Amino acid sequence: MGYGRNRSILCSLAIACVTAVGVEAQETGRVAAILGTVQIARGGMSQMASIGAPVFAGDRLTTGSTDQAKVVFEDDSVIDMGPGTDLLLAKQVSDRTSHSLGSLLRLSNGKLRAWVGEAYRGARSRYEVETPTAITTVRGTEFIVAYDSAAEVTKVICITGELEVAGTLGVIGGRVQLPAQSGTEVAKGRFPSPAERVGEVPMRQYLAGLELVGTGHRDGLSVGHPALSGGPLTAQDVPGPPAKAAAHEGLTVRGLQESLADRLSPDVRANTQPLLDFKLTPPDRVPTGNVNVQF
Amino acid sequence: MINRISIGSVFIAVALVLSGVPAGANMRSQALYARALVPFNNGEWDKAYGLFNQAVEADLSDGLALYYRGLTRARRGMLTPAIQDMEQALKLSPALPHAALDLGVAYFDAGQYTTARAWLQRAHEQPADRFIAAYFLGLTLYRLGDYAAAQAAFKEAEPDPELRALAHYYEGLALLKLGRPGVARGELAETAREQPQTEIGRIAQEYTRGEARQPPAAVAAARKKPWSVYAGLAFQYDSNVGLAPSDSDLKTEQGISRQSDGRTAIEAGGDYVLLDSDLGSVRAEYDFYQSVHFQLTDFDLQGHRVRLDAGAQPAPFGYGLALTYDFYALDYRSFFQEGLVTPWVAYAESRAAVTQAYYTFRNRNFFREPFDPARNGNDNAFGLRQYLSLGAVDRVLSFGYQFDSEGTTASDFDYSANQGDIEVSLPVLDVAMVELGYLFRLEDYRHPNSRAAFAFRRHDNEHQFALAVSHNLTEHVALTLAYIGVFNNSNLKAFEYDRHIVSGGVRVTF
Repeated sequence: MGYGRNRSILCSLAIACVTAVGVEAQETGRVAAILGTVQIARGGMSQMASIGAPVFAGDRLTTGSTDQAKVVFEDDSVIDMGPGTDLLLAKQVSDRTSHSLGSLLRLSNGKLRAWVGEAYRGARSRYEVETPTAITTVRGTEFIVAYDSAAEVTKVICITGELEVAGTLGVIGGRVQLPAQSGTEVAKGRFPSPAERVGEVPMRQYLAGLELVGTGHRDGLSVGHPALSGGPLTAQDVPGPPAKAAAHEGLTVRGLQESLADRLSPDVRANTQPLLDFKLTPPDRVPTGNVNVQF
Repeated sequence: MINRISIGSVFIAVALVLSGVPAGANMRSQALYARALVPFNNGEWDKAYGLFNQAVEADLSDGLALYYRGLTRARRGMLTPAIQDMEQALKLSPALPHAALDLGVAYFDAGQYTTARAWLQRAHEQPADRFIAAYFLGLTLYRLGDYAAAQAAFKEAEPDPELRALAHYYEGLALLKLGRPGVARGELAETAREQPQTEIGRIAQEYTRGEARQPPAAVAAARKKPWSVYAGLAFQYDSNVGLAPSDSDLKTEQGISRQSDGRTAIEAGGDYVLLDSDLGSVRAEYDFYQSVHFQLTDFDLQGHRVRLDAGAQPAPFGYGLALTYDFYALDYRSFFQEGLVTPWVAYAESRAAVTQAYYTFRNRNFFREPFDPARNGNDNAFGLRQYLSLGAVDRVLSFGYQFDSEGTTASDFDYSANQGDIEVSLPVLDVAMVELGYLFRLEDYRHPNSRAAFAFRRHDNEHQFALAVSHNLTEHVALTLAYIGVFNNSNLKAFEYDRHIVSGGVRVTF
């Protein structure tokens, strides 16, 4: 075992000693979303998980080859598991009084995306993701770890914040600091490759299979909508006898014919000739009066 | 090396589709959002809303949290803020899956069918939502009265086994509205066969057995309320209250120093349906109008109109008779009265096109000299009008031609006129109802005019432009805006004038 791994175990053991009692029985998180199926193995038994199912330290979570899952932990960290992922929740410990947290996830295959919050920024807190070839240590960041068990290669991508990646060689050195939007690769028996910037297109490739929207089920407004209940949506939605006029509903014709201007304004409708003209007496009439119009 | 990672390559296509989903949302927001999914999945809307709301407050740019807050708000019946959330989320994350469908459903539930239609048409283009979007699009078009398009949309939804029975049912209803009961019966029989245990299945069975069900009486009565009343108040600017001539020399000669003014316009009225049967309907209406000018009070106009409309709308033949009596007072003294009789017939060429022919007889009598008896007389008008539906009951284009001949006591006002006009009414963005009209009219006066020393006859042509916009503030209160422009050209300068009226007000209707 290399330095990183030893350090990780020592740290975890130290935190475990602080919390000592009842760690195994304590719920550490819940399954928040599932696309397909997720199995939880616990105490030699394996069962299919449902949304809201609790997870405990020591649980092993596996997704099928096309399935995904989201788990939210008590420490406010969140992980999205990609298809074909095998993940052991090796350690989940916390000591509120000394503000120390410890989380160790062991990824045997597949990939995960994790959001690790501010709680892990403390000097006594540590969040680690371990694969057979690499240990990723973070303090408040968003990242991806992928392990290809066939090729025995780990790839780590830092999306935001920063993190540290070490190999599991058991040799001191070869640690790589990853700033945001960068990645490294750790093959079996090798140190991590130098940090390399990850462009937009490869980033999308890394995120593929990790973008789980909502609960993974149909969450939209059409689900459970009254229009799908098997009853008429309104009391009017029943087949009465065909109405004579129904075929042309909406195209009603007007009786009184007036222009829009006339309909809008009686002042326009009533005054169609210049009023002052009527001061003049019509040629075929004897003058009989005057019009009292003043401007 | 890193670019060629193998694990994710299978999902590249999915990632590209989801590329609009934010990649770097705030950590706290992520945790709250993930926690909220559990109560959301359990239908605990209040609890889910609280957590999604905290997630949004933690990161205002978190499109997913905002979107799910919107979904949760919609589930709690808060449709307006729900729509705002979802539309904002879509701006932040343009590739949110199913967003167009959800917005379409939300607008449908809010009764904003025109906007719902636009979103559902977008959703229909998404393969994953094609059938469900087609079904809701059908419902929306059905509500808009576009039964042919609704029927086509329901037909598209039928391949989905979960929607098939429902889509057949509503397609049957649309076909009944289209006057095709034979085909409708077949669709309803499909529903009865596929889902005999559901309510629509039982209704469809009753129908196919010849037991047509009527809408509940109370609902039908509420829909067909026999009366309505209204009142309105508007402030208007009128550039030419007395139709003063445009010619400045004439204005000086006639002593006109002011021709424009503002005024308050008050209106009120109501109607009552006296009879509504299969043969037709009879409706009585009364309208009151009073304008009060700020300066030119001589032109304060009061109007009273009583109407009786009887007729049967075309299906495909229609007929009717409109009787109208108008009384006007100018400066609070009797001005004139008139009676109009308009018999009409109409024929519907299709569901979306109706042609109307009418004749109008009008008798007008002025109460004061020299209006009386100079302009007293009769007018006979013949006209044709074409109505076209623009895809929905609230979108109508109409245009018409009219010939009329007026005979008056004084020869100066005997004329024959030809006019054509076009009008369109339609909703704009579900915010306002807009009516737009244009009219052109030619008046040929029959006798040499006294204003031309009887040397020649008067010829006028007039352009009328009108625009009316109404925006409903509530179910009963609407803001109204209007513009009217009248441009009367004449070979006699005394009759040449322009007039512009701008009006803004509020109208209350019950």
